[in-house]
Amino acid sequence: MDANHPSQSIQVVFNGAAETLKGTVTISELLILKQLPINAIAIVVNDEVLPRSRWNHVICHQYDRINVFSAVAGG
Amino acid sequence: MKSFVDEFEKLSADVMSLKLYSTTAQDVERALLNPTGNLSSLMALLSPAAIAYLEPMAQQSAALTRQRFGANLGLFLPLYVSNLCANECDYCGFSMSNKVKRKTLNQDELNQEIAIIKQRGFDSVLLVSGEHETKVGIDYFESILPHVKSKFSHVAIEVQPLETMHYQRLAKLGLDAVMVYQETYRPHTYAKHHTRGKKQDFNYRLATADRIAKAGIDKIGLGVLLGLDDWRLDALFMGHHLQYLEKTYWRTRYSISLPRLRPCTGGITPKVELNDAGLVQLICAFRLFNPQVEISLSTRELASLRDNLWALGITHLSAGSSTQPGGYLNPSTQLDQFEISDDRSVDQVVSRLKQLGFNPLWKDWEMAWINQ
Amino acid sequence: MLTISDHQFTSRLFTGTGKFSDQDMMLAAIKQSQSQLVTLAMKRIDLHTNHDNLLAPLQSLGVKLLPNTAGARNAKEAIFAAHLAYEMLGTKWIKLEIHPDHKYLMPDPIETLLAAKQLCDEGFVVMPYVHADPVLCRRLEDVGCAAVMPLGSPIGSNQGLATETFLKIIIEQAQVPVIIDAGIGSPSQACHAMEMGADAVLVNTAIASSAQPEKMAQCFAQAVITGRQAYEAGLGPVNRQALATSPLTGFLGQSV
Repeated sequence: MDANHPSQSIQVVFNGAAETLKGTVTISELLILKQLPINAIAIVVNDEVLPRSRWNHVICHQYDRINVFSAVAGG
Repeated sequence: MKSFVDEFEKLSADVMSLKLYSTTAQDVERALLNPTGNLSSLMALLSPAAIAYLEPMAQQSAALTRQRFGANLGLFLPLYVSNLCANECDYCGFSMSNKVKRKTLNQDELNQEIAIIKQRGFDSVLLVSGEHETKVGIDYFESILPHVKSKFSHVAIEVQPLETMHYQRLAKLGLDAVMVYQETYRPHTYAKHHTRGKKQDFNYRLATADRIAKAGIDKIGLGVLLGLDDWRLDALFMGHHLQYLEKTYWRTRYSISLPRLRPCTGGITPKVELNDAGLVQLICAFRLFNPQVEISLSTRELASLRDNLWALGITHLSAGSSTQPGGYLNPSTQLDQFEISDDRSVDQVVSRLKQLGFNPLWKDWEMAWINQ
Repeated sequence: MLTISDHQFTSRLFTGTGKFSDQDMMLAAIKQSQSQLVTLAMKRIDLHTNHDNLLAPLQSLGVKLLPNTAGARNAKEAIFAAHLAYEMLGTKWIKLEIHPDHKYLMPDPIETLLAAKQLCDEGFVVMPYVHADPVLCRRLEDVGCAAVMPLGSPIGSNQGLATETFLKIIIEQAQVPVIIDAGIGSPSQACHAMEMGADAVLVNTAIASSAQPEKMAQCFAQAVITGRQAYEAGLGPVNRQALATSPLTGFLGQSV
């Protein structure tokens, strides 16, 4: 996967909202950026579940749709 | 392969026998209130204590049968295709060392038998043979089945135990049912009566119903030869077998047969006597235990007794049977497997059934339009 | 002891986490219920609100978490949800819940069977929520489900065991645990379900929407224990009068 140029910015859709990210951002880094818990969540990138083991390796790309799910109360 | 053998090995005949023979009247009364699918109830209903409750058992059994089957009684006829046999079974006229004339029907002879059977009105046939793997094996059965199936809506076989893949091949050719009787569920007794040939393998025979079910055959018939051992205990084992099969192979239908040991060429006498009251008890106990199992009554009982048994829980019967290969064309007694007891012709039996309020059925309507 | 897949439970009351007025109340009620298995749903995180930590307190109660696929409208979405749940919670246990019908929340049998088959093949411990259809339950068992969860009445309706006749058939025929789920509205209904021979019951709305959820949870706990003990003790048979007709065994004469 190509790394983005440090000064380049990209647009992604994060949990339904538009986000601008600068440079090369992995999924793990994105979570830290958004101050989200690392545990007990699942991540879906472009309609595919992204295994936890890959969060450090996968880089966000232009127009990626990234969704974060967690467990909630419900029958 | 997982089979009933695994379950059977967990059962203790001694424990079952002890419990059965210490059944009280109270146990029977409790069983009568909750008999369906309950093996403890079946045990109580098969016990000597239940003899005093025969009439209420009969009333309940008759009502249950009417509810499930209406007044219908299905007619079928056995067609013996061969009496060649490679087993030694001391209770059977076909036993290999018995000096009887051996015969396997060729296509012409088979056609002649079929023509007579069809003329009599039958649409359900049971192909029977001895157990001779090499001369009358899967190839022979495969060769005759298509033609037989073209003539009869329902075809069952009662032959030697086969492999699953053999049953699958026969299923593809339209085989509807397989009867395989364990004869007795007591291994020691079994060994005493089966002294030569592949039939000596108790476990292989015991696992046959599983193989038939796995092959997707629609109906399986179980049975014991009542009298080889303690008939109450053998019947109870058969109840366990039936319940295991119904639970495991839930898409399959089941039937039971209750043949009593009869004199035959070379004959033996029953170990434990089974009188008419006992037969009544068996029919009723099984019906109460299982409202949907088919119960078959062959011609090996007297006409007068058969006429009293129809109402109690019977669903299928044969009439005017011959138990020798070629016996419909040329009736004679020497080749008989067993002496027959109800000698009436099928017309006589049908007329009697109607008189008694039953509806003799030639064709099992369920299968009529599922032609493979 | 109730065994499902490789897990053993001493409590046969399972609970849901939905519809409680707040998280503290939910946790208190679950504690009183003594439930050892709790269902949860999954949702996309709302970035604008504080994320209540749901899991840590639940886990401190020592309960097993059973994520469900509620929200899925078909097999594809349910399978996706199961994969999500696995990533999220590290468990392969999944409650299959597919209800495209928004009014009565009736489970879709076809999508459920399809999803169950694939998920079982992938090694999930599948517990499908379905209508009380005995043949459907057999089919689910055949494809490898670890249990079946037939409904008593519509979710949240508190109508009790409207499907009682069919639940009894399912209980009689099943070779896997039968957990009656949905519609149980009172402790007596839960007790009755256990007396019938159910292996467990799942209760959510009746506890969560009670005026006193903690107390209600306690009542359910007791009811489930009582019902199960009664079943094991052996309930007395119900007397059925038979109509006598003319004698059927008279022909046997004195030989009887």
